[in-house]
Amino acid sequence: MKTIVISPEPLMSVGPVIITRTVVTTWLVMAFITLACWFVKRRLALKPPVLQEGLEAALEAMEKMVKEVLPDIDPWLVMPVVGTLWILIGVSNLAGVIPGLKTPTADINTTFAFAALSYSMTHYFGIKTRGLKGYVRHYVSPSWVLLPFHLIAETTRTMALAVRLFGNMLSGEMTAAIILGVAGLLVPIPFTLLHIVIGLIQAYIFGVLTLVFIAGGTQNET
Amino acid sequence: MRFDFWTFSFQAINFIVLLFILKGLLYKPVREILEKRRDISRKILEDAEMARDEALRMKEVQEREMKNLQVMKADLIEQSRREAEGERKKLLLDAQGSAKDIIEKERALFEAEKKRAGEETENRSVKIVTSMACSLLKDISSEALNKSVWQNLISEAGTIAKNISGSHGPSASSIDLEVRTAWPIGDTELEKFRRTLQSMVPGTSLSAREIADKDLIAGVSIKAGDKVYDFSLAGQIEAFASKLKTGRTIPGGQ
Repeated sequence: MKTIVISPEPLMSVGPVIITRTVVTTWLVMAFITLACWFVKRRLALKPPVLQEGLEAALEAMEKMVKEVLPDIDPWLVMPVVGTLWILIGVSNLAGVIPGLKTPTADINTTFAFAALSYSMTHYFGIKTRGLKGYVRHYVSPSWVLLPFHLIAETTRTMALAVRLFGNMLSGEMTAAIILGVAGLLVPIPFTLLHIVIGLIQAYIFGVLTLVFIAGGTQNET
Repeated sequence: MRFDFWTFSFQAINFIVLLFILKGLLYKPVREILEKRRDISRKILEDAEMARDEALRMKEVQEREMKNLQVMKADLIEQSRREAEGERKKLLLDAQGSAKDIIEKERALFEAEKKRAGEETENRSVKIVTSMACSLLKDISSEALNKSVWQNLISEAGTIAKNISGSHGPSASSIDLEVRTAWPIGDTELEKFRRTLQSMVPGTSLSAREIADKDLIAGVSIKAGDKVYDFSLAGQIEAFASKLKTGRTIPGGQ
């Protein structure tokens, strides 16, 4: 029977540094993504093959979405961040389907790390586009009384971002494991397929919400 | 579920590392390709715009040339029309002239034919009349009439003798007289006539012989050498017919 471990599983340690199973899986995911991108880059051509066409269509769709949400900013400034979130979270969500691999996003540390990055990027782009004063001012407008509420809202929404992803992925893994233990070998397949769909949707939601947060931080109040 | 600082840090670092990797391996090259393709598309569009502008310019030039050609065509048509009109008038005049000539010729021909037909009709009429007159006179001709004509001839012997003498001259030694009569006059009368004439032309010997000729109807025709003195009714009718043909006058007629 498959055991579901919610806490990080240390695999090795180098001095005080503990390397968990989640991190190793993420490295594998990163290696896969890097290899795939390297493979695609080698075959990039002006007259694109089918694979390149698909990739270009996906990136253009991303660009279009970023443009729609952030019409005043060069989309290619924000796109790498959001795109990397989509790709990394998407592939990580699917990694758990492969036997022997743990879904990195089913670890709260991973989702919190991504959420923290999302939070940091929101501030980074906010300050970059509005300046430090302008950005700080929006926390105290229309009144300084609202500052704590703004801070609480930002903290909670970041936490919600992390917990939503973590909860969805963990529940998917748990459901598959429980049904595998109760019903047998082939029954969890539909649930696994559902888990794949949910994983992709969650990656999309995470990226879109990050985009919306960045847009909220960059837009001037009127 | 517990917070693990190292996992949190590694995952954050992982994300940042992957961000840079993807920037180099994915975003930048794909963006370059997309930009390049957009540039090419833009250039193609610009070329197409330029080609369209050029085509529009050429179209305008062609339209202008077409208008000029239309004007030229209209001028040429007008000029051709004028020339054709002139040529038509000239041809019409020539045709009218030719037609006039032909009409004149045909009219002259017609007149000639008319005249010839008229003359032929007249000749035929004269022939018919002569023939009828001859037939009539043949019916009423008789020896007495012949004698009467003969007697008139004898009384006119002086005139005949003068003519014979005038035409043959005084050097003629003999003249043979061939006397043709419709009715026989007899040797006595013939000799009497010869002697009467002989007495009037003494230097010339006259001989006479009679030849019967019913065609004369009545009267006598005398041949002296190559001269003929006709006192017959047939001769008179022929003379009358000749007068009718030439003079177009009928003696004693209205």
